[in-house]
This record gives sequence, C-alpha cells and structure tokens, in this order.
Amino acid sequence: MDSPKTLGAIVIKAFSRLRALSILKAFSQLRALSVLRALSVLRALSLSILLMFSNSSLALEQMLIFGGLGGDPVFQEDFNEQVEQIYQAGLSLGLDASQITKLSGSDATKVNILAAISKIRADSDDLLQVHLIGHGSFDGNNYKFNIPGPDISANELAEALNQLNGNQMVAVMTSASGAAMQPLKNDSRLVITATRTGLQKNASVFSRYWAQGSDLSSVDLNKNEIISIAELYTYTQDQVTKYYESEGLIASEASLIEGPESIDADLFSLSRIGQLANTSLSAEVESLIAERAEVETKLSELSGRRQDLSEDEYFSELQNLMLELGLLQRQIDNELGTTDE
Amino acid sequence: MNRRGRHISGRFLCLAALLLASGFCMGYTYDYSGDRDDSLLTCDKLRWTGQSTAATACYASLLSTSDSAYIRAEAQWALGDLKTANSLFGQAVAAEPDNPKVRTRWGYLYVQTFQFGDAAGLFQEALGINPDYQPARIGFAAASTAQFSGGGGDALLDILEDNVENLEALLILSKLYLEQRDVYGALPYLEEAQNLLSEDLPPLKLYAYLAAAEYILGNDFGPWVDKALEVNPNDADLYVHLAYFAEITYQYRDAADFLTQAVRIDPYNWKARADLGLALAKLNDVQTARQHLEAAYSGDPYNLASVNMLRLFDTFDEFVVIERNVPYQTDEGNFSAEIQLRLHRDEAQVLGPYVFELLSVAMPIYVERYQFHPVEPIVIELYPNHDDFAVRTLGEPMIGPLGITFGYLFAMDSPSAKSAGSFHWGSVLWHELSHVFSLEASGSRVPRWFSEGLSTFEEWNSGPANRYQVPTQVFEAMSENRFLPVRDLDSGFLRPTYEGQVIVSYNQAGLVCDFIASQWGPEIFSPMLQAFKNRATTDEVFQDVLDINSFAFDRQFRTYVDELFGDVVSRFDDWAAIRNNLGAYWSAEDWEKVIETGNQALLIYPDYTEYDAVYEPMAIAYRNLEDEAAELTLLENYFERGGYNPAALGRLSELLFEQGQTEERHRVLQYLRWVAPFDEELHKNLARSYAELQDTENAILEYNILLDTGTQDVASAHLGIAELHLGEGRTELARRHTLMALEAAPYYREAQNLLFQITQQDN
Repeated sequence: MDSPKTLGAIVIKAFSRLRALSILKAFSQLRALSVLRALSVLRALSLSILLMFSNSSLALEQMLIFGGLGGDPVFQEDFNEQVEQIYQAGLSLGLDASQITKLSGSDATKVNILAAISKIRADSDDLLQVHLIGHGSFDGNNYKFNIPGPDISANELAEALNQLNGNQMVAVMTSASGAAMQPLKNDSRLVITATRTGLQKNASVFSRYWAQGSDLSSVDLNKNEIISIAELYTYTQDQVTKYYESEGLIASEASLIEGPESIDADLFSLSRIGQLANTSLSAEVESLIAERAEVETKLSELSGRRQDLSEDEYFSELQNLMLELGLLQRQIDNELGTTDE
Repeated sequence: MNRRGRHISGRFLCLAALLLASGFCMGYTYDYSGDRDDSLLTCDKLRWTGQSTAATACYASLLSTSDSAYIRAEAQWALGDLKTANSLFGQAVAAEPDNPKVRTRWGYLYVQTFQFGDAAGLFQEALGINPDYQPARIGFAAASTAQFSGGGGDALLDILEDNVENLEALLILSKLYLEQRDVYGALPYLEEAQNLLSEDLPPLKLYAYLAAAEYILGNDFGPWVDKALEVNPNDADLYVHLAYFAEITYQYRDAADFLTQAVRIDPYNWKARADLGLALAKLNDVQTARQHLEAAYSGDPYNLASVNMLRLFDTFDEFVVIERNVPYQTDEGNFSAEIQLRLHRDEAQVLGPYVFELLSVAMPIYVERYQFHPVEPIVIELYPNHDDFAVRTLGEPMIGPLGITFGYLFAMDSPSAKSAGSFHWGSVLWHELSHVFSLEASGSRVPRWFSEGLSTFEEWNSGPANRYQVPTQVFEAMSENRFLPVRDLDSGFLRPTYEGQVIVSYNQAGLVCDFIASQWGPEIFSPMLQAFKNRATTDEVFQDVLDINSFAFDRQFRTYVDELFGDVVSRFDDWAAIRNNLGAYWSAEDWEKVIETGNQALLIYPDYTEYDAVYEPMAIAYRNLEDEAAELTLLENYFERGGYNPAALGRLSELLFEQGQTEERHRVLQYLRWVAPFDEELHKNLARSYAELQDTENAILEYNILLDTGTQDVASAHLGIAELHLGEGRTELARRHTLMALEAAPYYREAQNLLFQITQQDN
C-alpha cells in the first residue's frame, strides 16, 4: 500500500483536476451557493479522505501560535487569552503536544520563534498553520511583529518558513500587518493579514474575533463539525465589520486573504467542535469513514454531472447519496457513542 | 465633460460658480438702487424690454469704450462672462477703494452664484466704508433670504422695513409672505412697489410677483402675465418666478406647467429647462425629465442640477420597480391603492416585503382619517446613497432631511444610507406617506406646518414607533418660550431664525395636531384639509372649523404642552446636568452611580429614548453589575417608550429569550425590522420566532430573505424552510429544501435526520 500521506496528496490533486473540469460550473447553478462555499464542501470531502488514510487521528496539521507584546496589561492579557483559545482549538483537532507550539509573553522572543519553526521537519508535507497575535509596526519598508527583545520582521519569518516543504497558512493578526503580505506570499503559502496596508496602525480587533470564533458552532457553515480557516475568516471579517459599525467608528482595519490558487483556506482546519472534538478514531470508525469517503466521491461526481441532468433527476440521485451518507454517519456516531437520535 | 465626474449633495446648484464661463445660476440681478450709471441703464432697458440683440451690442460696446473697470465688470456680467466680471470687479475695487457701490454690486454677483459667504463679506466691507449705505444693507438681506437660512430674521426685516422706498427691498419682503401663501401680508409691499415704479427701474419681477399673488389666491393672474409680456415678450423669467411660488407651495404640476411655458418662450433659457426637468422628475415623468435635462446639459454643461439629476437617472438601472396593488378596507368597502416601489436591487428582497407590510397597515388608517382615496399610483423610492436622495430634493428647502414628498411621489433614505439605528426608517416612511394624503386631499394647499404636523402626529400615534419622540432641543425651546404662534408656524420651517428651529417646528406642529386630536378628535383633520383646499388661511380654518381663534388656541395649546412636558421643561437645566453627570460616571465606570443618576433623570422624564437617553448606559451598568432582572425591566421600559437602538433591543431580545418570553421577544424582533432590517442575525431570529409562533408564511419569508441576501449559512436557512413545509404537509418542498441544505452541508445532522423522516414517510 502506498504511503497514506502520499496517497492523500494524490487524492487532493485528483479532486483539484475534477474541480478544474466542471465542478465550478456545476456549483454555480446551485441556488445561493458561492464558489467559496462549493470549494468548502469539496475541501471538507477531501479532508475526510485524508482522515481515511492517516496513521493517527490527524497528523496533517502543525500549529505555531505566537503572542506578542501587549504594551499594557490589558492588551497583554487579551493576547495571552487569545493564544490560549487557539491552542485549545488546535487540541480539539486531536493534535498532540508535538504538533502545537505556543509562545506568548516573555517566551515569544525571536530566538524562540525561529527555533519553533526550525523544529518542524524540513521535508514534512504537513500543513502548517502560524498564528501571530499582538501588535505590529511598519516603518515604511519593513513590517515587524512586536515581541520581547528584538522584533521579528516579516522577511525573517518568511525566510524561516521558506525552508519548509508543505503548504502553509500564516495569519498575521496585528496592526500594520498588511505590510507583511508581500514578504510572506509565495506559491505554497496562504497569508491572512488583519489590515490591508502597513499604514493601518491602530490596534486591531481581528484576533479577538478569530479566537472567539474558533469554537463556535455558528462558524461551522458546512456543519461538518470542523471549523476551517475559510469559515473562521468569514466569521472574523464579518464580526470586525460589525464591531466598527456598533461603535459608530470608521473601520480602521480591513483584512486581506491571499494565496496561490492551489491552496484554499478550507484546506486548513482550526478546530473540531461537537461530537468530533478531542476524539480518537477506532479502526471500525476509520473503516466507516472510508466508506463514507466513497460516497463523498460519488457526490462530487454527481455535482460534475449536474448540468446533464434535469432538476428532478439530480435531486433524486442526490437524495440516494445523502441517505447513504447519513446512514454511514449514524453508524459512525454510534461507534463514537455520540448518537443524537 | 464627464457628467458622472461631479456630484454634490444638497440644495446649492452652483458651487465654485466663478469658474463658470457662462450660465445664469440665479438670474441676472438688476440694480434697484436708483443710481445706476446712465450708460449701463441704457443697456439694461434694452435687456429688460426683450431687445436682447441690441442689449448685447450695447453692453459689448461698453467693454471697448469705457475706462471704468466697474462699468466693464457690469457689462461682462450682463453678457454672462462671470469669470471676467469677477476679475474686473477686483480691479474696480482697487481703482475705487472707497466706493461702496462697487463692492455691493460685486456682492450681488456672488449672490447670483450662490456664494453667500463671499457676498456677505463684500456687503460688510461696503458698510464698513459707509455704514448707512442702504444698497449694501439690502444686499445683505437679499443674500440671507436667498439661503433660506435663519440668523437674524428680525434684523433682516428691520433692514427691509427701513428701506420701503426701495423696490428691491419691497420685492424681498413680499416674497417672504408669498412663500407662506400670505398674500394679504405681501400686498402692502407689492402695492408700494407699484408706486415706486419708474421708467428707470425694471418692472418684470414685480409683475411676476403680482401674478404669483393672484395665482396663490386662485384668481386670474393673466392680466399681470400680459403686462409683463407687453414689456418683454421674451420674459421667460416671469414663468420661472411663478414656478418657484408654485413649487414652494406644493403645486408641483403647476410648477411644471409654468416652466413649460418658460421654455416655450425662450428655448435657450437653460436654467428654466433644467428646472423643468427637475420638476418633471418630481412628478415621476422620468423620460420627459431626462429629455429636458439632457438639453439643458448640452446648453449649459456647468449646471450641476442637470448633471446631478442625470447621474441619478443613470443609476436607476441598479434599481427595480415593484408594482403592486395594496388592498385595504374601509366602511365603504374594499379598495386598493396602486403602488410603485423603487428599490435598489440589492435591497429589494429585504425592504420590499416590509414596505408593503407597512403600507397595508397605513392605507386604511389614512384613507379613513383623511377621507381620501389615492387616485394615482403612489411612487415610493428608497435610496441607499444619501447623496442620491439629496439630488432628488433639490429645490426644496428645509423639508424632511430623511424623506421628501412631492404629491404622489416620495423619496427617502434607505435604512442602509446611514448607520444602523441612527433613524427609524419605518417611521420615516409612515411620515412621508401621510404627506401624500395631506397634500392630495387638500389639493396641495395644505400649509407646511399642518402637513408636517399631521405626519409627525401619525408617527407618534399610528405608526410603527407609536410613541412621542421629542428631542431635547424642543424642551429647551419650550423652556425659552420659543414656540411660535400657530398662525406663524410656517416661518419656523421656511425662515428659521435660530439653529434647530426647523426641528423644533416639526415637533411643535406635531404637538399642535396632537392637541387638536385630543380636543376635537382626529376626525377634524379632514374638514381642516378641505378648508385649506378652499384656500382658507390658518386663522380662518381655526375659526371656521375648530370654532376658536388662533390666539385662544395658542393659549390652550400652551397649557396642553405644559401638562405633557411641564416637569422636564421647568427642570430642563437640572435634567441636562443630571444626564451630563451620568456621562462622567460612565467614563469612570462607576456603575452604581450610573444607575443612581440615571434613575434621577428618569424621575424627571422617563419617556426620553433618543440616542443620548440614560437607558442604554444604565442597562450596561446593570449588566456589569450582573443584575439581569433589573436590566431586563429597564430595557422593557425603554422599548415600550419607543427606544429603538438596535444593540439595546438586541440585548432585550436575548434576555427575553432566556426568560422564555416568546411573544414579547417576537414583538421586539418585529420592531427591529423598522430600524435595522439588514442585520442577518435579526432575520435568523425572526425566522425561528415566527416558526415558534406557527406563522409559517412569515417564517419562510425570513428564511428566503436570508437566502436572497447571500447568507453564508445556507444550510440552516434551507433546513428551516424544509421543516416549515413539512409541518404544513408540503412534503416535496420539504424534501427539496432538505436536499439543498445537505448540498451546502453534507454532514448536517439535523438535515440528515429530516431526510430520513421524509423518506420514511415515503415508505
């Protein structure tokens, strides 16, 4: 049997090809279903298949969480709390201590940050998430993340991360973070910044809502009990807008999300919620998940054929597949002892 | 010129007008001082008698023959080259620094181009040279009255009354009365003006005002028209003046007719043509309006009114028009009103159902109250961009900053035009719809105070807000005894004399109508409107319909408002101080003091729920003190007294939900539609609330609003619809929506379970 991770990567590529063929066009016909949502469903299916082939419950994600200097006790406390919230979110994915690193307060020095990055195996294909929470600054040339001791620049971060192989997501949730976009962007990295430019210097509220949304069921739009980065970004962006409206202020921040076409924000999961949270999967469950993945494949294939079917034909086939998926899901829930019937 | 490149809001038609190469923005200002230079007077006479070619040649000759920069400035001005005229006036002032006349006439140039501040400065300079120079004093009054702004109204009248031997002063005075339909107030000045006429003074504006006086009285104004045309057969401005008085007295159709006449006489009078386009736009004749505006634009591309309105018409592609009949029932039977609702396409799904809901409630009330059935379609427009709405209102001074009505058409800000909660759009729509009835039922002869008063009364008594909403400046005005006699109340709208007087006048008018309703019953409003339709004055209506003279009415009205607001008015300063103190405690986060101080304010006047009321900070204080019971009670009071801050009401709905008070919560959620209709959470909560109360139709409506407005949570919306359909036995629809929910979210357990349930029913 091929290495599961390699096979998983192949599956992802296969799905990408399928997407390139017709899925986008098919999904565009779905009422009120945007491309983002279509992709989120697709990616959710892909993730399920990856689950099927993983050796452990989830060995796909590595997470680095860095909380910078607050400047005053209130900010510091907030940042520390947000770091902890995201850390807990990572744990809910089933990640173990070797897969999550958090540094905040006096520990978040440049030396320690770079060391944490360098601990990740250079040849690893794991998905890496980097969350930066705190204040940032921009002097017209360079963005810097404010930490104890010498600050770390976006260029320095990029250089360290460029030594790693796998796909990455970096969320720079600080003031002036828009200036970090250019140095950090590359072909294997999705970058999120809390501000559009380095000139947006007021303290950002982005990380507050990012952390807040990390375990909210309302953030889980596709109801797969996994909060993806895409879903979390949608939530956070919306909450930031509402914050400024409610305060009667002109928004002094506008977030950005940019990355190569091959990397979608749904690829990265931040947390599991509900019945999947903090759960290890038995062999029986893994087997059921594998069966479920086959149904998911059929669903994707049906989406591709939608244009060729009448509405009634499409929904008739959809129903059959959804029933099959639902039954498998019930069996999984029974195995997990979490049935809600 | 790219006409989309410039867009200004508000009434002012000619900003930076000195950059204009041509164009009459307000019409050329003749010199009424009586000391016009003979050479200029010769040319003026040719002009005002319609001998335009000779006049042009006359003015042109002065450019080459006169050594005086002042004479040449006047000549350039008369020829329409305002930029050169402005430059020459500057040279003239340098050449004759001690001549107040030069500065005064220069000031009039700025008045023509609506640069009133600059004009006032020049008039002041002239008076600095000679404090008794009457033309400068009159010019100052002319500039002030042209702005419809207050600031020393009495002083203006003093200036004008000091100059009753000046034709211009008399014309301005008469205009002030005619605007308020007070022809008998204007007549003495118009008669005196006739006595002053001489061959050296232009008579045309006087004849136009005399025609307007007859028009307002409903008399034959033809003789004065004929007299004007005898002097100048090409006097299009005659009809422009008539149109002005028609429009300011709500006679929009007549205004359009007058302007049509103006354009017929002088097809190249681009100002008149632009005004005609604007007038037709108010009558919803968009196609013809556009034609005239396009023509006006081609003749005078600097006329910003044309530019702005044409730009607005271009945006109509982004709007949808929903045409629907709204049925209503009265004692007489079943009827329906034709409605044309113009909404931005991004807002139609949300606002459309809500507007029609309001209309279905309002129509029987208004038909019954005003004894009037609409005989034409009512056109309603909501603009997400406030500037677009402001363009619609050009030419209407000081009326309804959030909405404006032109007979059967009214335009208003969409709730999205301003931040959520900053205004109660449901009340604004209710207010404007009332104008349709008061205007049309009275043949558009209702005085401004009464139309605004009725609309405000309806807001407070029958509308979705259904409570007094009186701002603090009204109490302050009451405490300073600034309410006007009812017979003079129109001037509070048209010619305010202090800041905030328009708002005070709105509220006073509303309270007057409130008092009338309490004493005579609201059924008296219809006879009053009929009396106004028959051209009765306010005094006459009070005497003939209410059987009370207006002075006695004022006394009784004062007693009435004292009973309503006596406490807060008599303790206004205390009340203001207490609220200020609360602010200080708030900043210090002294929550107990916030509550204590807030309660002191509520003891004085608990009905105040505007944005700076004490309710919200008190609620937050209770929350910080973790006293949810007190917070809930306070917010319930706030709501019942008409408070509409979305955050506060959102919090109230949360607390009611926690208490299981389903119906009370539902009332709050329904109310929030009139304040913050674009809040996605509101629609989610409403959908669930309607479902809980088994109002399937409205629940499905709310879920569909969510889907139509692009909710991210498509799955939940479809599932909600599915459950509702299933509850009504519509299995196939339930199945379809369940599958759509699963399409968006294949692992959605609730949707999976519902699908199992449906398919089990199949078996």
